[in-house]
Amino acid sequence: MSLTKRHFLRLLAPLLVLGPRTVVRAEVYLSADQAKSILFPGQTLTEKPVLLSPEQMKAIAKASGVRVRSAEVKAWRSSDGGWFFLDNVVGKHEFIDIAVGLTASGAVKGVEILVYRETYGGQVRNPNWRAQFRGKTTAAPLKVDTDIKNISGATLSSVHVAEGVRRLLHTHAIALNR
Amino acid sequence: MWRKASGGSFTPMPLPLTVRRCQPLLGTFVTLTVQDARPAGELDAILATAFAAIAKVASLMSFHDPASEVTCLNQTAHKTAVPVHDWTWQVLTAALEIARGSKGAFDPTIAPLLERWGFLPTLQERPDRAASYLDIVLLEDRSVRFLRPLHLDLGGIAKGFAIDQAIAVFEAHGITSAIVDAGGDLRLHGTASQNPPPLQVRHPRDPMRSFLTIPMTGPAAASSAGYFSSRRYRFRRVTPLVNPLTSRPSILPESITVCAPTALLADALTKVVLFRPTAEPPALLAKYGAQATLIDSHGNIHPMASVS
Repeated sequence: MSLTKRHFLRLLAPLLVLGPRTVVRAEVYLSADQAKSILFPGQTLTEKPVLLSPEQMKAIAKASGVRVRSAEVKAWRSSDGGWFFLDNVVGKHEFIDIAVGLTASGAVKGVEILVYRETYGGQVRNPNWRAQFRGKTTAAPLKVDTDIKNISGATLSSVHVAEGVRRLLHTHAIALNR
Repeated sequence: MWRKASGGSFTPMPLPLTVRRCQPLLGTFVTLTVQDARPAGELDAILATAFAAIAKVASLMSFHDPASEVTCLNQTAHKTAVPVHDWTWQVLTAALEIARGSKGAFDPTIAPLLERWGFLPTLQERPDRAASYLDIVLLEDRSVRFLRPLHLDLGGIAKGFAIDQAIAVFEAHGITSAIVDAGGDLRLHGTASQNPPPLQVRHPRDPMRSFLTIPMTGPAAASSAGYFSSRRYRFRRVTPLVNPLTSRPSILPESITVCAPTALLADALTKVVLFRPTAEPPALLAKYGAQATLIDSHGNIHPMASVS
């Protein structure tokens, strides 16, 4: 798929999934505070939010190759000079909340997933089409109409996370490294 | 969920904590779940060690990483023998054993096609089109030589090995119960493996819903299917699941789920079953103590149990 087509579909995606019986399920792994204590154990973190100027946003996008969706950077400075960020990236259709820790020198300390969200029920359930699967099972009733609880098919989502980390590395280099 | 009964009359036993963490690794998301009576700080440290083991596997065997051992092999092993880390050696040994046992239905040298279709980055070194797993030689001094230029990709087996290494960390620390889940491939440890939850398998045509619940007959399970990874290459539909015997991608809405004693076996055997050369899969499954469930494109379910 060409990049422009993929980009266009990505913009459309939030609309496509707002069909009937659509549910957004969130899997919560960590709170922001838990992520802080994991990435910066024993450190004091001071909130230092940053508002990027349009020039900075452009420079970060150019340097990282990743779009900068928001001028707001949720950042905390640790007592040892490192940085803690709260950010989000697009998963399949919904946002994934992440926490990224950088050392004082701007290297990645760690990346933690805080919340992973997926939409369910987006596809139209055509009874005729589903009927072909009836009667094809073994003895026990095997069809279970429940939601999948784990993450798979997440190659693109994990690419987005990697891009988000790259974007934050350049954000640190361009806007925070004073 | 398993619970430890609170203890004797004088000192109540600590209740086990359940801790879950998720990190982006191996090109997917790896979720570690542990349940143990240790304090949270200790559990965090053990989890960090487990994640580090997975990251180590990725740094050794990633096709995408220009500094990985696999990249080094792809660049130089056809010219000179390359010594490798013990873990890379173990994975290569297993890969070749399964390749031989499946008569090439599993073959870690199909990367050139995946590069052409955009699933993998293109390597500069040109591979020999006739190369196969038979051209990979493991030498006595734990170094590796390629008889022809080829592109090795351990993507079909290294994820399973990484899961097994994380489990090894939990075993070494005597963790009571743990689940390692790497993008849907998983392995259970301790109490979790004694009372395994039933596996929900995605509907191959409607993958956001589950279609089937199968019991886990081994501590590890892996699934292969093309529904999340298909893309278009010049008007053709392609997936990274390439049959090494025909060079064709698996594009039917079908899926394989394998339960096995280790995640490495579960991971590799899904490809063997998917590219089923007639009678081969059942024998190989029996050899490794694995079971498979195939959901074909008509929704028929084919359980493949080992004959014992």
